[in-house]
Amino acid sequence: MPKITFYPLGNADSVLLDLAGGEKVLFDFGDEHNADDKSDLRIDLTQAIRDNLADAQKDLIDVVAFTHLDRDHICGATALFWLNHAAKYQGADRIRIDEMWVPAASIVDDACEDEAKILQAEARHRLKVGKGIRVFSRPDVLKDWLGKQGLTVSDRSNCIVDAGTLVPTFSLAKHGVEFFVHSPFGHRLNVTEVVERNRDSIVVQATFEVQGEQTKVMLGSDVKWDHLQDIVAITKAHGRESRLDWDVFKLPHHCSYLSLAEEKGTDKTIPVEEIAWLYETNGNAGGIIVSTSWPIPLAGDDVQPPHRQAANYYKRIAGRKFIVTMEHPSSGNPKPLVIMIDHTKARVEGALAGGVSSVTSQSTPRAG
Amino acid sequence: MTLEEVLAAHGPVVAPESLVAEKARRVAVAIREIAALEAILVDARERDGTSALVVDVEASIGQKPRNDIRSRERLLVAFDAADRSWPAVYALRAGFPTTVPHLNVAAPGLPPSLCLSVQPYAEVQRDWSPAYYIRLMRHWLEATARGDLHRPDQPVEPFLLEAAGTLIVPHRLVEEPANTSYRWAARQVGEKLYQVVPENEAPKSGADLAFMSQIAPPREHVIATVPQNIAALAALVNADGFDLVRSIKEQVRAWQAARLWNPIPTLLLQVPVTRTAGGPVERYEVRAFALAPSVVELGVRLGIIDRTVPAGALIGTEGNDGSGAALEVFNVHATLSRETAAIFNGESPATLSYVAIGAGALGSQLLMNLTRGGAPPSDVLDKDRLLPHNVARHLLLSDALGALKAEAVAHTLSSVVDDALPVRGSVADVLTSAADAVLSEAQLILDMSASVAVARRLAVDAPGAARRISLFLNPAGSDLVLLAEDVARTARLDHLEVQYYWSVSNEPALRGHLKADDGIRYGGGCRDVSGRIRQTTLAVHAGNGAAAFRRAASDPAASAFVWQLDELTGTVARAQLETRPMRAASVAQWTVFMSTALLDEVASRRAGKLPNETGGVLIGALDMQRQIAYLVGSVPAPSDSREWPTGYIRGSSGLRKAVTELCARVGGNLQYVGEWHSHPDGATTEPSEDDAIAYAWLAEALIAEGRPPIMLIVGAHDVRCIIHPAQGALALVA
Repeated sequence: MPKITFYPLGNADSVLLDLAGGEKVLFDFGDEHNADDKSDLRIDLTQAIRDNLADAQKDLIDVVAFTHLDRDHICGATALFWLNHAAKYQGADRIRIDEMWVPAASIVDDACEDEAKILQAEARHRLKVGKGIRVFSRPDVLKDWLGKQGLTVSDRSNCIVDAGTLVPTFSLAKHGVEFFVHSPFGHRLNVTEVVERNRDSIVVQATFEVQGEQTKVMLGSDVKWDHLQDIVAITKAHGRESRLDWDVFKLPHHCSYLSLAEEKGTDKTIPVEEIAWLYETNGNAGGIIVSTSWPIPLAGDDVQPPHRQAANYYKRIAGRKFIVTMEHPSSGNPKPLVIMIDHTKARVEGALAGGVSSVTSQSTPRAG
Repeated sequence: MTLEEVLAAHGPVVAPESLVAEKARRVAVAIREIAALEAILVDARERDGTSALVVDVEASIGQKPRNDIRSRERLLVAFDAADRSWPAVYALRAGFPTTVPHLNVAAPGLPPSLCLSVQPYAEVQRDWSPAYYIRLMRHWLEATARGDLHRPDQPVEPFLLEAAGTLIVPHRLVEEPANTSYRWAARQVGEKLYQVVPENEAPKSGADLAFMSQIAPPREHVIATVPQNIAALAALVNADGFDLVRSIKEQVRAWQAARLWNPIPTLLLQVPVTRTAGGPVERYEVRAFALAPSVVELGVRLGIIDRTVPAGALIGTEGNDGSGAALEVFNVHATLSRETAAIFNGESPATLSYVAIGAGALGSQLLMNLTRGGAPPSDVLDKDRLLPHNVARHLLLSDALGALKAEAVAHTLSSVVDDALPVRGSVADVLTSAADAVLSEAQLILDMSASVAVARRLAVDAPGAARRISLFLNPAGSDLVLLAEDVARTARLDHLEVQYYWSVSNEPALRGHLKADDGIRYGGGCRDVSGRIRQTTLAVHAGNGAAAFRRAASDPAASAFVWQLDELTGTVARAQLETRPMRAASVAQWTVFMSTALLDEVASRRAGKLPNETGGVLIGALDMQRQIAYLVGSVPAPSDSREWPTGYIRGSSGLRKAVTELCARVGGNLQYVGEWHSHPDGATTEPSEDDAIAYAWLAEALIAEGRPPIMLIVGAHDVRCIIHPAQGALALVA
C-alpha cells in the first residue's frame, strides 16, 4: 500500500513517498534539527531516513528530488548521501541515490553556495555522465551549459523532463504512480517568445492508483502565488484540469501568505481567484492540506511563515483537513505524519497503527 | 429507542473511578492518560451489573470509505461487571451503517452493535489491555470503512445473543431457491436446537415446531435490523405482490386444519440478495423467526382465532396487519457443504471426481480425510466384510461388524457433508468384469486395494481412460507409496510399479522398505497390512496419502513417491521415484517393456568398454498370465568376465549372491530374467554364431523353469531383444 510520510522539521521540507512496489521517492531533505538542544522537537531526519531504509532492508533511495536548493530543502543532504562526483562523499555508511531530480536552475545558475554548491556539482556531474538524473527544465534552457560540456540537448534529452509531461521513471501500470510536471515551466508571451518562469523550483502532481481508485498528491515546493496562479492558468489553458486535482496538498513555503496572494490580510489571507479555485473547487472531498511548518501562531504578525492569516484561509475550506507537521499529533510531541493510500483514497494513519512493531522499526534513543 | 433512552438505559452518569467493572475503569483511565490511544471519554454510566463507557474513538478513514464510517465515532461500551463476556459495543451516531458485516443482530430498538471478535472471551484474557479494546474497536471501524472486515471465505452468520433458539438449515437454502414443491419441516436435536429437514424426514408427531418456509422478493442488502413484529418484518420484505402476512394467515389456517395447536409456529424466510437492483441473485440470506409461543397464540394475535369460541373457529382475517404479533429470531446455521468443507480445510473447492478401490485400514481412513476436505469419492469398491481385527485400524466401528465395508464406509462418508449425491458403495470385484461399468465411467481411479493383482488389472485390462493412482503401504507399515499415472497414461501404473521395485533394490535410503516383519498374516501379498502396524502410524500415512493424492490429481504429470516414517522420532522422509515412460517392443507373443534407466545403463556400460564387448544379467519382472516382461535393471559383468573386441564371456563370481540379495530386497518382486551383451561399433545387433550358442544355453535353463529366455544385444544404434523363437529389434535410446 503506498504511503506518504511528512517529517516534522520546523520550517523545512522532506516528504517520503513509499510506492506499492517498495520503491522510495524522497522529496527534499531539510534536516535542521539541533542535536545539542534537548528541547528541539524537530525530528532527526537523517536517523529517520536511515531507520526507514533499514526497516525495508534497502541501502539506496530510488529517487531523491531536490525541488530547489534552498537550505530548508537540502540541509544535511551532503552528509547523508553518497555523491558520485567526489570521493569525499563516498563513505560506506552513505546512502546511494539511484536517480536525482533537480530543477534547471541547479544546473545553470552559478549563485549556489555551501551544500547547494555541492549538490549542484553532483547534479552537473550526473548530467555530464548522462546517468541517474532528471533535470526538470525546458530543454532550451540547458543548451548553453550542455554546449560548454561539448554536448547537445539531444545528447541528454533522456535526462530532461519538460513541464506538461510525465516523469518517465514511473508509470501507473508498472509502479501504481505517475508524476506530472507543473514547474519549471515556460510562459508564452506571444507566438515567438517564451519566457522562462520559476526555473528554480519543481512542482509535480503525483497520481497513485490502488484497485482502480486514484489519489492525487500536489507537491508544491515553495512557489509564490503568482507562479501558482500561472500554473493553474496554463494547465487550464491546456484543458488538463485533472492535473490540478488533489487529495493531498503539500502547501508551498510553510503556510506563507505569499503563496496565496500579495496581501496578508488582517485575520485571513484572501487568495487570488485561480488559487481559490485550486483549493476550494478543484480539491476532492476529504482532501488533506499539509503545512510543513512550525505550529501556527495564535496571534501576532511574524514576518516568517507560518502565517496565521494563511492558515485561517486553509482551515476554513469546507470538507478539507488542515494538518501542520509540527502540530501533529500534538505540538508538544510532533511525530511524522503518515498518510496511507488505498482503495478508499487518502487517510491519516493513527498513532497506534504501527503497534509494538513501530519500536523495532526504528533505532532506540541513545542509552547511557 | 432514542439515543437519550439508550443512554438512560445504561444508568446515570458516574465518576469513571467508581465503575464496578474493573476493565471499564482501566479503559477509562487509559483513555484519559494516554493520548496515543486517540480516544476521548465522554462519560461513564453504571447500572445493574453493567458498567458503560461512552467513548469517541478516532480512526484512520480514507476520503472515500466503502461504508459510511467517520474518522470519529461515538461508541457505547457496556462491560459486564462480573467480566464474564465481551463488552457490548454500540455505535451511537444516527445513520451509522446497519447493513455491513459483523454487526450483532441487536435486540429491537438498540443501536447497531459491533461484533468485535469471534475469539472466546476466556482466550483473550492473557492479551488484555485497555489499548487492546480500543485497538479492536478501531480495527472494526477502519476495516469496515475499507470494506474488508469480512473476508471473502467467511460465511455470513449474523449472531444473536438472545435468540429463540438455533436452527440448522440445509446449505442449499443459502445457495439456491427452495423448490416450492419441496416441503420443509423441523426436528428437535437438542435444547432450543432444531434442524430443518425435508418434510418426509421429520418426525410424524411430537415436533415442537410448526414449520413454514417462504421465499421473499430479491433485495440488495442483508437485513441487519431485527423486526419487532410480523408487520415490521412484512414491511421489510413485502414487494411485487409478495404478502407475508397473508401467507402466514393461510398457514395458520392450514395448521388449524391439521389440528396443530401447540407447536411454536416457525417461519423460515429465504431472501435472495442481489448486488444491484434487478441483478442476478448472488446468494440467499436465510432468516428464521418464531412467530408466537404457539399456533393458537399466533392465531389470536393475528385476529383469526377467537379463544372464546371452541377451537378451530376462525373469525374475520382482514384488517389485522400483524403489528400486534411480536417476533423472536432464531440463530441460523447452514449445514456443511462440500465447498465449505473444502474451504475450511484450506483446499480448493473445485470438484474432484474419483472412484476409490479398497476400503481397508488405509483406504477407509484416507477417504475420510479426503471427504472432510470436501473431496468425497463418487464410489467406494471393496468386496470384504468388516471383521473384529479390522476395527483396530479402520474408520468403521464394532457396530458395523459383518457389514460390507464398501457400503458402510460409503454411508459414513455420505454423512460428512450435506451433499445431494451420496457416496455409492459397491462390492463389485475389480479382478472380474463386475466393476467395469463403474471403472469405465470414472474420471480418476484411486487404488488402495493393497493388491498387486488389482493394480495390474487396473493398469493393463480394466476399461476406461481415467488415469490410475495407487496408494499402498509397505509390509512393515512404516512407508507409504504413491504411484500416479500421467493424464495421458503414458507412464502406466504397472510401469511405475516395476520401476519402484528397481528403486527399492538400488536406493540406499529405501533399504528394508520391502522387508516384512513377522506379522499376523491374513493374506499373502506384500501389501497386506494386517501386520503389527500402529494406528498412529496408519493415521500419519492416511493424512499424508490424502494430501499426496490431491497434489497428484491436480498435476497432469506422472509422479511416484515413498514416504518413510521413523516411528522413533516421528520424522517422515520423502523419496522421489522414476516415472519416465518405458519403451515397448512386441516380440512373438510377448510384450517387453524396458525402462529408460536400463537402456541408458547398458548403452553407457557398452561405451565404457569399447572397443571390447561387455554384458551382464537382466533384472525384471514377468507377468506370465499376460505375457509381459518388464526389464528394469541389470547387474554388471562379474569380475571374472572376459571381454574382447569380438566376444564376451559373462563370469559368475559373486553373481548368484548379488542377484539373490537384490531380489530379496524387493520381496521377490524382481528376478533374474535374462542376459545382455554388447556388439562393437561397426557390427550389427544380429546374433552371431557364438550368440546363438549362448542363447541356446540360456533357453535350455529358463524354458525348463517355464520362463521365457530373454537376451538383449546392445549395438551402437539399436538394441535387439530376442525371445525364442522370434526376434525383434528396438531403437536404442541414446
